[in-house]
Order: sequence, then structure tokens, then C-alpha cells
Amino acid sequence: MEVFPVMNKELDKRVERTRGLLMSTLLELMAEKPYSKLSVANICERSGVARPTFYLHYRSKDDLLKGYIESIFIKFYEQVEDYLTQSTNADPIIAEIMFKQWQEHADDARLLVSAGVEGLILIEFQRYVARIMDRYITAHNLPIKDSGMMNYVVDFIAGASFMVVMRWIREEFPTGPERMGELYASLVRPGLLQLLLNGKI
Amino acid sequence: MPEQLEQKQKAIGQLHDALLCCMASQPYQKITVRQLCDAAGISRQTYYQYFSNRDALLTDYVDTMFDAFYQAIEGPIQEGTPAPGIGISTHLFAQWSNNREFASLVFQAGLESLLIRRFRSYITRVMGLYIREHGIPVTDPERLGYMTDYLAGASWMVLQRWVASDFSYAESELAGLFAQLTQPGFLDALIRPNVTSVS
Repeated sequence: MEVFPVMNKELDKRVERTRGLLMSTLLELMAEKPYSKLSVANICERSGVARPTFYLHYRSKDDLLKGYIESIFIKFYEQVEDYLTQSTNADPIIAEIMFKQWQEHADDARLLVSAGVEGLILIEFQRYVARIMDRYITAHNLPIKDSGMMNYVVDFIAGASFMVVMRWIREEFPTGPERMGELYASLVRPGLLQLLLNGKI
Repeated sequence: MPEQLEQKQKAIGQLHDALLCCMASQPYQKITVRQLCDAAGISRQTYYQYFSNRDALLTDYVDTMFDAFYQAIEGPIQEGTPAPGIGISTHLFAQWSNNREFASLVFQAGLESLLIRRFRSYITRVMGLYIREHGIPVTDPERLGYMTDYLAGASWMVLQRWVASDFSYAESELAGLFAQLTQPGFLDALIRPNVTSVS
């Protein structure tokens, strides 16, 4: 089904506005009651968006939340892409930017860690780690012999970064993003770069 | 009182079996303590003597697996050099492949946070053992906390994929990958003369 047959700029903006409104409404409601108790009806009522319109944009409440988490990752990806492609060094600043992104969304991040939606967040980490690794590997023409094994590498990094970020949020950002980026990069880079650059996989 | 202990162990063994059996036929969230008791053939009173709720039984099952893992690695860590090679990783993967049936039931939606919490507590113990045995000075416990969570998340995700793929790679292959990804960074962070302080 063609939902938006004419994707002109005007319409594009309207779509973005509606989605933004739905996301901010969801987060507003999450501050008031547990995520598991919220319904699409609640979100529509509060935002003034009609239910049919909601379903033009999202399949479900989970889908909307995923959309929000993804929007954070999209911004992250845009900021790190140049660092990934310019050199094989995997600049530690990439990790720093990851922490910065979450700190910029501190209020919402707090809501997310207490909402019991770990599974959903983890899937988005996985998706973006995969995207970032893929970009890095393609940009530098690295030979990957075993793509099945590569999936494990992605999951390793997704799980590790997810847990570190979640702890940092839970503990109310006790350390700055620079130091966190440095800590995280110091754990992940030595092993990962050896693995990717020496054709061990 | 050996007889009482024996009875306890027997009841817990029956409950572990009952848990597996119930998890095989329905989602974990739907299982009740009553069902577990019926399947194990024990009374609810006995159940609550050992476990405070449903999750406590699942936690106990996972803990039993971890205890076996801990016993297997304790010797090698005590006797080994600070660079553990793939020893610890090999035992980690072996432990799960020795419990395939449970593994395939426990990596299901909705149990992530309970299990990751357990993983974190196990890794805290293993890191503690490692640090004690090698006399590594810890100047920054906060940093250690992040390292624990890092490993908990990484091992959880890798095991989950492995279990979901029905153990598609050999234990040694994944143990090798895991050690390769973990050790250079971790050894550097732990053994480096001055662990710089976070904050």
C-alpha cells in the first residue's frame, strides 16, 4: 500500500512532525506510568493524533518506541561516519560520541532504563553496531572470510556497549562522556582491531 | 543433618526438572508456582521453604550452572599466569553446551534482565577471584563496575546467538573469538601499572 504517494518536502515535514509528536507524547506518558500499562489509545488521546493516523506511521507502541531509539542512533551514525571511513584507526572519539548522544537525551534515557524494555533497546544497539561495522569494513575493503562469525562480533559489541551505556545512565552519568568513551574504547579497540585488520576472521 | 540436606537436594532437583518441563511447554511468564509444585510432586509449603517465588527457582538453576563453571575455572586461574588464554572462555561455552536443553529454554524474550543481572553477579565473582589471585591493585572500583557490565552484556549476547543457532560453531571457535575480543583490552586495563581513575 502506498501510504505517502507524493513525498514532497511539505508532506515530509508533516510526517516528521507527526512522528516527533507521537514520540514526545510516548515519553511524556512514560514519565507518568509504566510503559507496560500504556496503550496506543493513551498515546493518541494525549497527542490528539487520530488512531488511523498512528497506524499509518507505526505498527504498535513498541514500534513507536523503537522509532525513537533509532532516531538517537541515526544522529550518532551521521556523526561518526567520517571517522569510520577516513582511517582504519577506529578513533576513540566514536565511543565518546556514543556517550554524548545518550547524555543529550538524559531525561528520556532515564525513562528508558527503568521501563523494562531492555530487549527493544538491545535490538537497536545490535542493528547500529552492525551498520557501523559494515561501513567500516566496506570503506577499508577488509576481507571477511566468515560472515557467520562476524555476527558474533557484532553481538559481542552490541551487548557490551548496551550494558556500559545502561549502567552509566542508571548511575546518573557520574563520569563525563570523554572519560567514558576512553574507557570503553580502551576495552574494545585492541582486540577488535587485531581481529579485523589482521584478517583473523 | 545429612538426611535433611539430602531431602532438600532431592526436592530442589525435582523442582529444577519441573522448571525445565514447564518451560518447554509454555512461556516462562505464564508458569505458576502451583504448576511447578504439581510437576515436581512436592507441596507448596515445601517450595516456599526453599524459594521465595518463581524467579528464585530459575535463578537457583542458573546459579547451579554457574557454580559448576566457577569450580572448573578456579584452579586454572589460581595456577595460571595473568593472561588466561582461552581457558576461561572455553569453560564458559562448555558450560552452556552441556546444558543445551535449559539453554534453549532460558534465552527467551522477557528473561533478559533477570539473566543479565545474574551474569553480572557471576562476572563480578570471577573478576574478583582473578584480581585477588594475581594481586592486581584496584585503584578504581567504578571502572571495574563498567568492565563487569561490559563482559556481562558481551557474553550474554554471544551465548544467545549461539544457543539460537543451535550451537552452530564449535565451543573452541567461539571461545577463541571471545578471548580474542576481550583479552587485549582487559589485560591492558587490569595489568597496566596505573589504572587511571575515572571521573
